[in-house]
Amino acid sequence: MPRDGSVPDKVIERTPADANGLALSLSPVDLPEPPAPLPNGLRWTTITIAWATLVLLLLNAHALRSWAYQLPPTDLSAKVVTLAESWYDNVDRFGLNRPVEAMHGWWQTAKDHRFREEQPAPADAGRAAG
Amino acid sequence: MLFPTLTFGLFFLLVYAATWLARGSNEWRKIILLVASWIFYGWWDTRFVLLLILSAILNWGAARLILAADEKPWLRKAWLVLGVAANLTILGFFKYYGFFMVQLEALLRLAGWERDLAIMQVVLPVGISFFTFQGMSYLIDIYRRQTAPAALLDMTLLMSFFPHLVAGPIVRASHLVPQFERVPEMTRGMAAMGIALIVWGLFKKAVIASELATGLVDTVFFDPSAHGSLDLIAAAYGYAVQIYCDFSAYSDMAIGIAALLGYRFPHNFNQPYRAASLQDFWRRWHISLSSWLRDYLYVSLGGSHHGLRRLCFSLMATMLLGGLWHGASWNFVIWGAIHGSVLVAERLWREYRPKSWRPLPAWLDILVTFHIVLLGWIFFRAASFGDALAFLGGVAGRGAPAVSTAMLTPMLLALILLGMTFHFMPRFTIQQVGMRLRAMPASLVGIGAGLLILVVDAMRPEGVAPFIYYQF
Repeated sequence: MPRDGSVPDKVIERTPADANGLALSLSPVDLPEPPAPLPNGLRWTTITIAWATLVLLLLNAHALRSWAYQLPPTDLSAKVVTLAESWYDNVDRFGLNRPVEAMHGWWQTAKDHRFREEQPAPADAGRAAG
Repeated sequence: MLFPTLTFGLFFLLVYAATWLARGSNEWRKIILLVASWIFYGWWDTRFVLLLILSAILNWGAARLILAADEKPWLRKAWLVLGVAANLTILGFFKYYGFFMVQLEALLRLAGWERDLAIMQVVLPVGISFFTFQGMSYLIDIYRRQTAPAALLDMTLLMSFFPHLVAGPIVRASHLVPQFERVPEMTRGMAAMGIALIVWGLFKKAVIASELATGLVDTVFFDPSAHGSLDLIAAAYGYAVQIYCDFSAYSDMAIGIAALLGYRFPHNFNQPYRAASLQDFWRRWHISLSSWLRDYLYVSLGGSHHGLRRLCFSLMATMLLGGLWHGASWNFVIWGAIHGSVLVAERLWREYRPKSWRPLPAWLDILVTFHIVLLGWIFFRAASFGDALAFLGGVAGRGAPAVSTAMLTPMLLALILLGMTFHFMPRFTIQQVGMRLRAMPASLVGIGAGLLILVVDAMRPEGVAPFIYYQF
């Protein structure tokens, strides 16, 4: 918050760089110049996004299916649901839904751990004994 | 439309393709971004898109009037006052009308006037605090001659630009409008940082913040008196981590999304819980708001230029109003008062500390500062003043059930510790990741990013809770 008469951006600009040439700049996306030019920034970005999209399309069909079911019911969304379902079935045939399902299972198991195992309530214990 | 959803993902892919295909014309590119921003905002409530447009026109028009009155200082000031008042009226009506009417009704009842005031239910437009503050900062900067006037299109886009529209960072005209003046150039460094920030933000929000909210914080804060002291303590620490991971994740994603469209947003967080004083905390937490409050409120109230007494008043008033900015509730005012009084105390201590007294070790300063912040968060998060007191009473072991850890699980504890660990990582870790990524082949980075998003998706709870700062 308020600093007495200081101008933060100028302070930030004066922050000395570390061994990698990194310093506090105006934006976190500012990086020091690379040692050799890295051309075709837009092409590189577009290819990166395309690959990420492809990976998600192939391996995250369940998310696509859940999203389709949450759309407001219309003729269009009904078609989207059909497409999402058939996409899910297609990738499932190649086992591509398994990684995310397995990870989700591991995560759930980890979440279910407790510090102490819960003891059954006395009434339940009595019923069990009876 | 929330960032970590498939709907937003599809929306972003379309906007990305359209804006970069239109890079031959900067004007068309900006128009596409503007329309996209209105669609993004209208996803909640189309009526408020008009408010957004009117607010931009209002600020652009008031700035023109200030500029046109260049020779008459009194007229410049009059236009500024009118412009700021108009912004505050919009903010006041939507955000504080109900709160003040309820207070007025209570006050009248105390005075013996039993009146049922007709209190309208006013829907709060998402992000109104952010875009009105941006509009006001533009007007004040124009008045102070600290920024160049913006064209109507640029001004409208500044206020509507979807990455920062609903929860900041508060981007000032002097920072963003010059970037709107030409088609931006996409560099691999910017893109790599954008992708790294998006994935990092997604992890913090969808895994840590959401898990802590659903598994611990929401339940305990809903009824503090029903929980044991250990659960209450865990929920307080959990909320400190949740709000950091939630809000900083939004900022990271906003900065990352803007970077992929070619624009640079400023920093908004810098490991806030490693602050060694509250003054230091506010250099690290919600930097765009704290610098806004400093430049436009604290300085206007006198700041440090009129003696210690005035400085203390300015600090306290700034923090109280900063608290009220978050919402119309006494708890936010108390939160602001806690921060304000500790800032004043720190200042007085610096002034009057006996020279022979040695300063505390840094680790102890950090620990004390963090726990003051934690105390503030309890008021910030609790639904009412009574709940906050019940929470604090429960922590002290008063009125609560026996000490228990029914809510805290090993996973939740691990997430709290993980969220705290982020504060002690090297300062430029994410930038170092960005530097490595930009030198790698695009296909490898894309596959890696896709797989990481997949892991996050497998870990997140069902559904996506809105970001905490959406309500502000």
